[in-house]
Amino acid sequence: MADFVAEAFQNEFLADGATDVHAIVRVTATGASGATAQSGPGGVEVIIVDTSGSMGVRGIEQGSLAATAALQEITDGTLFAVIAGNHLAWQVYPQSPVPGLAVMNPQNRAAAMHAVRGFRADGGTAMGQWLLAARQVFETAPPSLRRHAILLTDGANEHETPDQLTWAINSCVGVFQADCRGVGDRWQVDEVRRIASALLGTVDLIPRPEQMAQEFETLMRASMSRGVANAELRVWAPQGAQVLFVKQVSPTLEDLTTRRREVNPLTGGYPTGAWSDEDRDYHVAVRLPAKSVGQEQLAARVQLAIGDEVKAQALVKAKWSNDDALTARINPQVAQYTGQAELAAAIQDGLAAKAAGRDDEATSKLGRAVQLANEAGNDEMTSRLKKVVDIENPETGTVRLKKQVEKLDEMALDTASTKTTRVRK
Amino acid sequence: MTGDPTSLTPPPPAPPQPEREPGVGPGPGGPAPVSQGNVDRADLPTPPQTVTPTPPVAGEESPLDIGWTGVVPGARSAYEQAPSAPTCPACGQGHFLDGYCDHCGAKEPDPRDHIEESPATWVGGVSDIGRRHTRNEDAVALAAEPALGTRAVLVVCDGVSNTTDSHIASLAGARAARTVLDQPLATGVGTPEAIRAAAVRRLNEAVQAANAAVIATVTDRADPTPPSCTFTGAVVTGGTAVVGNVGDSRIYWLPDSGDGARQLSRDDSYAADRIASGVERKEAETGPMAHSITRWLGIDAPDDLTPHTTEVALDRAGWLMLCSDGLWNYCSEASDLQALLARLTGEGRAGTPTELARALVDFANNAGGADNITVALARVEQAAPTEGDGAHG
Repeated sequence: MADFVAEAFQNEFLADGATDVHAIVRVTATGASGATAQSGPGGVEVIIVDTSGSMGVRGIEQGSLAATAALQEITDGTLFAVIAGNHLAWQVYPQSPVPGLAVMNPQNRAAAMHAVRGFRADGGTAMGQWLLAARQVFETAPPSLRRHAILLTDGANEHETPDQLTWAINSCVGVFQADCRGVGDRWQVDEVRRIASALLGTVDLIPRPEQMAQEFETLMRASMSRGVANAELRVWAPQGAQVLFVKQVSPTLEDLTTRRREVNPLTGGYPTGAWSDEDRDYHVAVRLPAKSVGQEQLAARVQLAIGDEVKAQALVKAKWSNDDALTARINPQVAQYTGQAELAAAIQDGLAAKAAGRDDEATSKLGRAVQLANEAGNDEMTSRLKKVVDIENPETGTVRLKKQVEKLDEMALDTASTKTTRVRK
Repeated sequence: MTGDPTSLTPPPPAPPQPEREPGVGPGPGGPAPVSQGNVDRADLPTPPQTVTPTPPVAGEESPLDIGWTGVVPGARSAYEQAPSAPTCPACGQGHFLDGYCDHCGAKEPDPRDHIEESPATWVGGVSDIGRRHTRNEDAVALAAEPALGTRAVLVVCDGVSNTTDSHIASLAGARAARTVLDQPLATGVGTPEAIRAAAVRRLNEAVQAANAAVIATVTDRADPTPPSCTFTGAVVTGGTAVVGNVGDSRIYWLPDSGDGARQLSRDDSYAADRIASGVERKEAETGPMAHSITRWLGIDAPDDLTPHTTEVALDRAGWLMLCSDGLWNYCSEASDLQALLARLTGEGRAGTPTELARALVDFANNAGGADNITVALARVEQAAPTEGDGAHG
């Protein structure tokens, strides 16, 4: 059985009159890997591959190889399907007139691998259609099973409106998780991030088609290792308090604030998807009515729940003090993740401004990003930023936009922005 | 004696004081045990009283038995067996889940943070954490016979705040001292001088017992800051109080009106030394090292622990008061305390000694509550009965 541990990192001391409590809560899962935690069918996997005309012969060939690599990682007994998408979507395997799933076994794996060799590059791109098709397939499986999709695209969502895509995404929230990958430099990072974020998955860039198979293998292996289907982060805050935000801050940044469902009037539940043996960090901020110096109270109970069972709990506290030495300290975990969140926002806002031709704003935001990365000693992000801006002074954040920027470098910076550096204890 | 005063198990309903029958229990010349220790705990519920606790016999407690060791396991089970969990005193709605309220988040009060004792209608005391400290290192231990002015024992100890577990030490010390002081005095021929001499001897023994109890709480012999505390004790018998102290907790005699209000104890403190050398009291008590004491109980106590003792004739209506510096920091002069008591009485806050002690604690808290606050009071009326030809001053 999976075990969870939750621990809070915070400075519980608040200055006289202060109201906001920040804490990083680290949730660690053990015994949650697929091998140990699973019983019966491991889950449901759907592979969604872009077969639009822009994929071309080379892209389609590599897409088939990627689907094959993923199929090889799906363990026997898992329910699965393969969907091909362009401006429409259809189920490539199992071949049937109605949505459905096959049980993985040697025969079905061979049949599915045969089917994906029949991919043809043709038509446009409407990812909302792919998602809706996947949802229909997932809904044929028992809801208790872990449900995961890999989505591959190479282009922008040109054959449906943004609203149509939004509607499709929303209808899939809570039905399945999706890790999304874009190959090449013609897809839109923010568009695909929107899908991955809503469906509790990751987004990343695959620069060249030949790299897809390796990526699919890795993604599917990671998914197979997740033995806990659905866990919920719960945040209790006292009567009269306000939960300012709840964010996953590691391994990636994900703002969960708006995904609250009411567990009870004082407790919100936030989806976290499937878990393997891993740890994740959450940044919880609560605003309390100020109390007098010397008073102590609980600011939040942060719990990890599976179904109705609370598996772990960390307590976030508030103690008002007039000792500046205690209240002025910022907890290092809180400080570093706050800085990383600001860095990610600066990069994304800067790139969006640059794409929209607002060069002054782009220069200022990316300059701030350079400054933050420099302060944090985040050399990886600094080197990614250097491919987009010329840095004059990293300390002041003085930069110039590069005249010539590789589109892939810009996209790599964008997708890397939400990957955080783990802050150790 | 009744049950452990800080136990979460409530005391049984106060039994009617049994008439003494000849041949049963102590006769008039024999030991006169003093009832004590009914604890007022307004913030705790009253679990069902399915079991009548057997009162422990006085003198059978070891210092470790009476030391505060956190929540008493037996008491906890009584608490948990309560049909309805206690309601949070802060919001009146929630219940305590994990040390905190499930509705408003308030911290579950530690019973040690606020202790009240009301052993008789004329004797009561309150020990409170105050506003700034994270634990209550003061302690109070009282005992009294029911009849006004007959016989009472009052002890206040203040744990030294920068020492280990001084909250355990002070309570162990106070209770050990009470046990000693609660024994009847060997008054010999019963003259005032004999009573006074016996009481002074008893105060010396009480200090030694308290010191032993404090030392028994030491868990680490190599601790550079071992537990330690002050001592103030008073024995009221007939119309006289004999008092003694070590450290800077105080004893005052505060008649309701007129001259005669005075501090009976003598501080063992750096501030007192400065006052003795001519520095103004106010300056000395607020100046540097004002709270450094020169004598204390504990494993590192000075060799001479002979308490400063004195006696006072309780020949007028008034209050005998013991208190920690958490109170007198905000009102030090006896005449000021007298006026404060008059004001609080005028406000209707002197219904019982415990209520008045609570009012004094509120006063100190409202003034800042910088330290733990403990106040113990014995009421004296003009027509104090005399027992054993009590002193007339």
